[in-house]
Amino acid sequence: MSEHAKVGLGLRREMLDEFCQAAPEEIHFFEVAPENWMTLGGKYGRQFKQLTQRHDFFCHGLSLSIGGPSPLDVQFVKNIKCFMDEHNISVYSEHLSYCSGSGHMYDLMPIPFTEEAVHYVAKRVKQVEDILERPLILENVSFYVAPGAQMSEVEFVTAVLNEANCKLLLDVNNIYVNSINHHYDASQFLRAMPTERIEYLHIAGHYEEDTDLIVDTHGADIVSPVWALLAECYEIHGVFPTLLERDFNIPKTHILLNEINKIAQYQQTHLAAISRRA
Amino acid sequence: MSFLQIQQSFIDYIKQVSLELPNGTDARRMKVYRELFFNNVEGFVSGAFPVLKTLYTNESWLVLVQTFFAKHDCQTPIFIEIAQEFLVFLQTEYEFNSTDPLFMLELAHYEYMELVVAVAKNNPQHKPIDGPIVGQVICLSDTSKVLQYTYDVQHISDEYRPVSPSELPQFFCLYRDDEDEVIFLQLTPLSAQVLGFLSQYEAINYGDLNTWLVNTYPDMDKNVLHQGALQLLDELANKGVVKQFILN
Repeated sequence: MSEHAKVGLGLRREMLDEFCQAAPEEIHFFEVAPENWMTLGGKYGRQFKQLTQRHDFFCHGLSLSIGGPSPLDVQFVKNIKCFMDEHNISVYSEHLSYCSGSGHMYDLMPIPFTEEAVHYVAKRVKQVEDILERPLILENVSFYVAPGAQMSEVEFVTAVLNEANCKLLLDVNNIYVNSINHHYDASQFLRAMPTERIEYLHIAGHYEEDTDLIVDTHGADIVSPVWALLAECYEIHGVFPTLLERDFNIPKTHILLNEINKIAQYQQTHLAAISRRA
Repeated sequence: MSFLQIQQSFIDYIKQVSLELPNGTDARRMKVYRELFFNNVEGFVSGAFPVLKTLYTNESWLVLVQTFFAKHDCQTPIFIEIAQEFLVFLQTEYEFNSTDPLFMLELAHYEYMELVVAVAKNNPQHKPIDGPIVGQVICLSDTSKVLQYTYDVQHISDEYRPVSPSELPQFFCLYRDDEDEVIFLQLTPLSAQVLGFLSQYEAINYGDLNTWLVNTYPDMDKNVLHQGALQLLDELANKGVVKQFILN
């Protein structure tokens, strides 16, 4: 098995009891938002510790606000480092986005796609990496409007990755969501992503508010165009660890495993195709 | 306009819909942002204050949370601490109106304390006490809170809404037992005073606590006080409310 052919699941509190008993072996790693776990003691804290001792974990942050107008919360980044050290986690990704101004908003807002913003974000990426003593992996986010944009999303994302010299968490569903909402070609966007910077992938379901407006909710099954985009992504960039995000309407584990297993099949299919070609 | 200013106008609009649309956006899509953001925060507030919420109609509850969402700048990056931000908002920024219950602040504080005790981290310097308390360095566990209210907040519900404070102050302790359940413990005024004293210090010698107690009640028999305090602390140590403090 290729070291990249791994499948992960975003861990939710609802899953703790079950996975502390036994976690399905089809799930190779879990991902958590440090903001949801780092201050927790009590039952949740104890169960979480049990799981991090037995399984591989990635951190996927929510509150860093890498592109936000206020100074970075240095103490918060230090606390994340402590949390990652305590649970022996090395991977930390965050959204190429912002979530706070003078106060926290607890969700993701679109950074204006400008040169100035590229420089600003790149500088802050370095600052975070210095504190964390780990690379910061940035994710392409879904967005519904693009105020102040002076370049395209694809130009902005690649410019930030290059200037900050950092890795990419490529969210395949977000490419699809944005391609519908902003009328661009998802395949073209996918092809423009720099292969050598990709660290891992996200995939999820979304909510269709209207034919031209879909919302990235992580609350539904993955739709077939997104599966097709995942296959295309493996085809273009190769196989990478891929994580299923499911935050709402969470089905029973055996149902969730259908999507986990489908990701694994896509990975194996692609690897088999490569070895046939070789 | 610099990109940082664009961002601020974006945030302002999400908080307060009456403002002008940010440049380069449209109302339908900004509504998606507003709903996502508000529903998220509302979910955390409603989850942390379930009793307070039942005292409001659905509509007036949403107005209250909307006022919080629009006016308060949350400083914590931690999602469950949105509850604390809401409490601070009620305590320092909110203008009460005639439909708000008089006990609103006390109830909100009590509900927040339940959450705090449920998720508090164990302090590695706090160890369970086995053996006699005399001679130990003791402390109030980080998983316990000593509380005092003028209303009997623990009884408040949709069906019980006191209109005046109870006759006597309400003293009690919320603590987490060794199965991580949050337990409610009614306290006598004297036991509340002892725990209140203990809570002011990181840790204290049992002997110093006893001296303070004797000085506080000069008219009472020393031996009776001493025995009473020992019995109380033993019981509280068994429950994990009082712990031994280990020096690093």
